[in-house]
Order: sequence, then structure tokens, then C-alpha cells
Amino acid sequence: MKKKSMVYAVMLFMIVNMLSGCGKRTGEPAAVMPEGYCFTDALGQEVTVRKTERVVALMGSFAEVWLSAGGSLAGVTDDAFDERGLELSEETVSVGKYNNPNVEKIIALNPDLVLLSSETKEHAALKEVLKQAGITAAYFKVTYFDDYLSMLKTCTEITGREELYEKNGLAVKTEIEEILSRAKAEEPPSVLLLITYSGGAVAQNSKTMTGNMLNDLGCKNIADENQSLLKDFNMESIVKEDPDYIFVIPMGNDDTLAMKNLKESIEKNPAWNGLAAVKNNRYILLPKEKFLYKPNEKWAESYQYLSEILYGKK
Amino acid sequence: MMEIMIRLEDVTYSYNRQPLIHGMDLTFEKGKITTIVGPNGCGKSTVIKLSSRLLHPDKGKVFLENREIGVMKRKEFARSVSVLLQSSYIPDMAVEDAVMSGRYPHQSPISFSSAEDKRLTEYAMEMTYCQSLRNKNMRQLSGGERQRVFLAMVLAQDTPVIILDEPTTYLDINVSYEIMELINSLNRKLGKTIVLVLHDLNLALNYSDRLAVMENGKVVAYEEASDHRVHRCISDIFKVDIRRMTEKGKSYYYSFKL
Amino acid sequence: MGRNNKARLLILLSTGLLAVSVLLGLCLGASNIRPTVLVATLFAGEPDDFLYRILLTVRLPRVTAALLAGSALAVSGAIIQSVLNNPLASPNIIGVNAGAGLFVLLASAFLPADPFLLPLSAFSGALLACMMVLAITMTGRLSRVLLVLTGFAVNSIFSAGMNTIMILYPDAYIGAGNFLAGGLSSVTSNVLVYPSVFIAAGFILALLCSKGLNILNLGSDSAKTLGMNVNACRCAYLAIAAILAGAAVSFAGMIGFVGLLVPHGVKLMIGQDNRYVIPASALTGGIFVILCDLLARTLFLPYELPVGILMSLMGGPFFLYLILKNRRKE
Repeated sequence: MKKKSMVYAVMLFMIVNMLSGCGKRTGEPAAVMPEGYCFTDALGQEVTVRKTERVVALMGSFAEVWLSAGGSLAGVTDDAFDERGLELSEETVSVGKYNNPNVEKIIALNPDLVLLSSETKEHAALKEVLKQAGITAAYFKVTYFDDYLSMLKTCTEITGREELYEKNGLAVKTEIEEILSRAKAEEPPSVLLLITYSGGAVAQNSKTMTGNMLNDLGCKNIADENQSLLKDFNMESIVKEDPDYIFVIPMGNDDTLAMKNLKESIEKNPAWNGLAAVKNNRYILLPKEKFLYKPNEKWAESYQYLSEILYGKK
Repeated sequence: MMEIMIRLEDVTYSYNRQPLIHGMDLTFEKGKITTIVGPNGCGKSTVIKLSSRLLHPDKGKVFLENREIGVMKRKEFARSVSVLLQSSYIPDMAVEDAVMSGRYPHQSPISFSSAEDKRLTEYAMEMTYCQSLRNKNMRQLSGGERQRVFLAMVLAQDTPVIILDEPTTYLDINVSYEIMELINSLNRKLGKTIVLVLHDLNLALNYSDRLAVMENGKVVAYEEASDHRVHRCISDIFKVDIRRMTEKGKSYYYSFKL
Repeated sequence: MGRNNKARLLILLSTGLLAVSVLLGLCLGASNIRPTVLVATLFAGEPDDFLYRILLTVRLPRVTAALLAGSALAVSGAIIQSVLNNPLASPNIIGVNAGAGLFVLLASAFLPADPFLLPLSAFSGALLACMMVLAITMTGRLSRVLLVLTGFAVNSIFSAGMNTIMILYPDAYIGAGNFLAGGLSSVTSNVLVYPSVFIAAGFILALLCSKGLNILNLGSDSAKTLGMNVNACRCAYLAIAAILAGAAVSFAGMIGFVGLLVPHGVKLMIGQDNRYVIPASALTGGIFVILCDLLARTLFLPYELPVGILMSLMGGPFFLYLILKNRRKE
């Protein structure tokens, strides 16, 4: 009896392994034209895109970039609908959440190209599966405006719509440069950039998206020097630095919870109200659409928003 | 002719730098029932464990029929000496499987049970009146039934020497006598060499061929069970008196407080 | 009915149930496939057909992974429980999974990417954790509770190590991709090749050692007096358990529940005889993970729940039922 179970077990494994070994066959794409646009993506892979009729974007912001490059979308993740309010055709299907994409749905859409983020581990995990399924996958990393510009360039070269690169990319760049050249101050203002969520608040330095914008505008971020602020909200350090401006970005799906935390734990602290920024009305809440999500082609507006706060309308 | 089965030669054993036994010489005779008695903490269990290879002496040697047990292969030793320990752990298995596991030293690691194994297991259960219990789980048995099964295990192991550490503790008096009768029959019918540790003096006096009395890690008397020197030693240590009574031609010893 | 017969019946039933589970796992998902279509696609499908692609690149690897991981972890748990003589022990609790995880991360951070290295490093880590717990157990008579606490400590050490590496070397997860994303959602067939060899070997070894494990069930003193080299055997058996758990963790991430619940449940149903417990655990473990994974990815389409949650939800109450049922018996 013992031997029988062993035999069953070994047989079962052999069968299953044989079947799963068959999967390697799908790696070869059907014979297509050798042309296509070739580039290196954020994971260092050589990607060749031949068709662009059916494209799936696994992040709302990438969906937006693809649309502004003149492409159309067969599938997106929920944040494209919920957070961006993009205008998508009725045929566009949801493939799950950006941090929980459903790989079966993606494959079922038979996409020619999938756009993924190299910084999201759930996306990184899909690399092998998509490769085995013979689906072209391109990874991007967008933190700063220049990253957006580079992604837009790649996308417009794929779609062949170079004029959109001009319109949604280069033109924005020019605008930003103008804003930055007008931004002058005798003394660089010091800022504290906070991000709040339901569990607390944490400072961001110049390496983040908004922090980088503030840095471009000539601000000095107190979290650049004081690295501990990046991990813990430390009222003492903040009082000591006494920044000129305090910017707050509410994060998370629920604004109200983040706001609640802000009001109750931070604003009620008497030390907080003693800060210069708070007293002088320079404690500002920044809108998510401009400063939490990637603004993409509206990046210049975000710069403008900050510039007006810092230096007034010019 | 006295044949020696197990011999402790100049054995010292310490635990945490406390010497439990120091320079002890002790022999167990082949084919006899030898019982060790003594107050709690005198080292009886240590002697048992040293004799059964559960402990290794710090100094000195232990011999099994002139072979040093420390260098014997494990399974070889297990085919010569079986041990029933006083342990509170009850395995969760069927009686028949437990008794069958006594055959382990005779089997190769991966083999199934042979016909011989099955026969000896049956025999062991017969001798200990366990057949009716065979499909029950060990944990469902009474104390006495369990001891019988452990005895069956030891019997299935089929060794010339059986060592038992307090086999009657926690058992009712009638069940204790049952067990002692069984142990006795293993010696009388099958010629096994038995080494026992008992706390019940009456059982020790009436079921042993030889009695060793220990105190504070030393053997203070070691004689035939009927020898008055041993009785005097026991009286001194335990502060009891020992008397003999005769019934139907047989002698019985008993202890009591005057 | 005799215990042995009950055991054989369970094994037979489980084999049947396993086949059904595999079928369900292959047919159901974001797109449901009818069994007839399934068979047709498997044997005569076109590479362009999206059903074929889904089946071969997603479902088949995934169901195979669930089967392998579930059965490997269940058998690993059964072995560990026998060796440590402790029904509370399991690969998760004694830190085996965390050990495997740590070494997988170390390998991804410092060694070149090689599909063979991942299960090997997982096994090394799993083995290290096992040995640490065993070494501590052997220093004296540890009560069962202390043993679990020891496992807890070992677990914490390795988990902390893992988190440290993730902070210092954030790129490590790209190589360890599947592992850290957790669960089975992105398993591909090439990741399964080496682990399945280890797991198959582990099963065969476990079955061969079932007699020895039964002897260990008698207690270590009794096992010694029966002539078993208890220490050597414990190490060997734990090594087998580590191979199984390590191989499973290398592609499935940290699925812990199976190793504790499944062997326990099996033992409550058919007793402690490892000759039956081991194959029964393998089959039941496979069924359990396949079904939980199936539910996890189909209950709230297109969203996927983490498998661990499903396993707790399904396994917990069933386990309680088994406990209650057994208490009334005795």
C-alpha cells in the first residue's frame, strides 16, 4: 500500500511536470515583420514593439502618458478610472488594481504591449510570466519630469506621433523652464514637505517628485540634511529648523482619514502652532492631482502652483 | 556457577559537577532477577541508565558479557538489552503498532515487518495478555494495561536482558502484583536476566533473587534477597522492620513499622 | 473501522479529490474553460489562442505550484512535528520559512541570477533554521511551549534579517520577484523545474523514513533504547523537512499555514502512523492549497486576495471542528 502511494505520487509529478514544461513553446512569437521600434526599458531589457493596436497599462499615470502619445488602451488598472478620471473608450477593460493586476485578464486581452512600472514589485514579478506568454512588456520608471519626458518620447516614437511629443512634452518643458527662470529670491526659502496618511506623517526630501520640484524652484528642504525626518515625524527637529513653508500632501485612498490624522495629532500640538510657517499662513495643503500623482503633461501647472505660493504671481 | 551479564567497573558519573556515583563496582548475574532499592535520590535511576547506555560514565566502564557497551553498535546493544523507563510520555499509537516497534533493532531501517516480526509481536502480546487491546490507542488504556503493553514491547524486542525502572509506580496494588508476576514469568519461563528498580519494599523482597541496597550513590548491601544482612541494611535506612512468614511451604517477607 | 483501513480510505479519497481540484484549478479563473475545451486546448492548442497561453503560462504552472507547495509544506510539517515531538511545530513557526526567505534574498542581492540557485539557497536557509532550533532543543528537556518560543525567536531573527536586506538592497526583490510578491500569482514553469526535483526527492526520502519517524514518536529515550541513533536521525529527518520547505518557499513565498494545519488535521483523522500520515498529508496539502488559491483568484475578480487569508479562513474553522470532534471521543 505504501508503494502504491509512492507510485501515484511520482506519476502525478511526472505528468504535471511534463505538461508545465510544454509552456516553453509559447515563447516564440508568430512570424511578423522584422521592423518595429526597439528601445531599452527601465529594467535594461531590449524591447521591440511591432504592433500597437491593443495596449494595456498597469498604472493610471502610464495610461495617461500613452493616451497623450496618441495611443489607445485595451486595458488599464483601476486607478486610471478612479484617480485620474481619464477619458477612456467603453471597450477599455479593468485588469485589477495597480498593485494587484490580474495576469489572466491581461493575457486574455491579447495585448501587443503592456506598460509596467519597474518600481512596483508586483509588476516586476510579472516579467517572466508575460515573457513566457509571448507578450511584449516594457517597464518604465517615472519620478521626475525628465523621466516623463523620456517615456513620452519613447511612446510617441512607438505611435509615430512626433507632434504629440512636441505638444505634450517639449512645450511643457519650455514652460517649466520659464517658470524656473522667473523664480528668484534673495534667500532660498526653507521648506518642510510632509506626506500624511492614516498612520501618521513623514517628511520627504528632494529626491521625491514634489521635493524635486521644490528644489528646482530654489528651496532648501530641511529633510535633506536631517535624514531622520524621513522615517519619523520629529516635532523637535522641525521646531529647531523652523521652516519658512510647510507643504502637506495627503496620501492614501481616503483623504478624510489622512486629514483626520493631520488635525488630531499634528495640528493640536502646541509646538506646531508656534511654528513660523503656521503663524504666517504658509502652511499649505497641496492637491493630490498635482503633487501626489504624476502630473504628466500638466507638469508645468504644478510648477506654476508652487511658484505662485513661494514667490507670488508674476 | 555464577555468570555475570552486566558489570559496572569503577564507574563514576557526575551531573553539574555533583558526583552521583563514584567508583562503583556492581554486577548483575545472568538469569537472575536483581532489584535495586534505596531512598529517593540515591542514584538508582542513574545506575539503570548507565547500564542501558542512556548515560555514559565519566570514568570507568560498563560491560555486557565482557564486551564494553560503549563501543558496541547501537542496534547490536538494543538486541541484547531492552529498557522500560518510568516516563510520563504516552505515545499516540495503536497497541499493536507500539509492540511491533519493539522489533526495530532486528530490522533494517527501511524494511517492512517480516513474518518473524509479526510472529514475535503476537507472542509478546499473548504473554502479556494484550491481544484484546491490539487496536486500541495507547492513550485510551488504563495504567495497568499500558504497562502490560510496554512489557509486550520489551518482550518483542527479544533481548536476554531486560531492565525496568519502577514498573509499578502509580499502579493499584492488584495491578502491581499482575505486573510483577509477568516479570517473574519472563525470568522463570524464558530465562531472561532482569534488573529492576522498585520503591515498594514488599515487592522487592518477594520477587527478587538478589537485592542491592543503595544510599547516597553507594551500594551498601548486595546479597540474596533472603539474606538477613540485606534486611538489616534496609531496616537501618528506611527505619522499618522486616519479618518473614511462611504459608504453604513458601516464605514471604514483609516490612512494617514497629 | 480499523485505523489502517480508515487511513487507506482517506488516501484513496484524497487522490480522487486531488484530481478534481487540479481540474477545477485549470478550468476556473478570469476566463472559465469547459473541461472538454481544456483537454482540446492542452493537447491541440494554437500558440496564438489566448486560452492556450493562459493555460500554459498561467494556470498550469500555477496549479502545479500550488500542488507542489501544498504537499511539500504539509509533509515538511508532518516530519517536523514528529522529530520535535511537538504538535505545535511547523515550518513556519520554527522559522524555516523565514530562514529560506532570508537566504533567497541574500542570493538575489549578491549572487548572479541563476534558476538553480534560488531553491538551493532556500534550502540552505531552511536547513540552518532547522538546525538552530534542533540544537537549542537538544540542550535540555525543553517543554513544548519553550520550543515554540524558540522557534519564534529564530523566526524573528531571520525576518529582521530579511527586512534589513530589503531596505539596504531594494533591487534584491527583482531577482527574488516571485518570492516576495508572495503567493502563486506570478509563477512560471521554469521556476518550478529545480524545486520539483527537490520536492520529489524529498517525498521519496520522507516515505522511506516513515518507520524511523514512528519510532521517534515513542519518545527519544525509548527510541534510544531501541537502538536508534536519535540525534543523527533527527538531523537527517529535519534535513528532509528543510529540503521540502525550502524548495516550496523558493517559488511560493511564505505560505505558512499549511505546514501546521494539514498534518495536524490528517493526524486527527487517521492517527500518528507516518506510513499513512506522510502520503495523506502530501495529498491533502496539495488539495488545500490548490482550492485556496483557486478561491483567492476567483472570488472577487479581477482582484486577487492573498492566498494566506483564504487558507486561514478555510482551514481555521475546519480545524476547530476536528478538535471538537476529537475531544468528544475521548
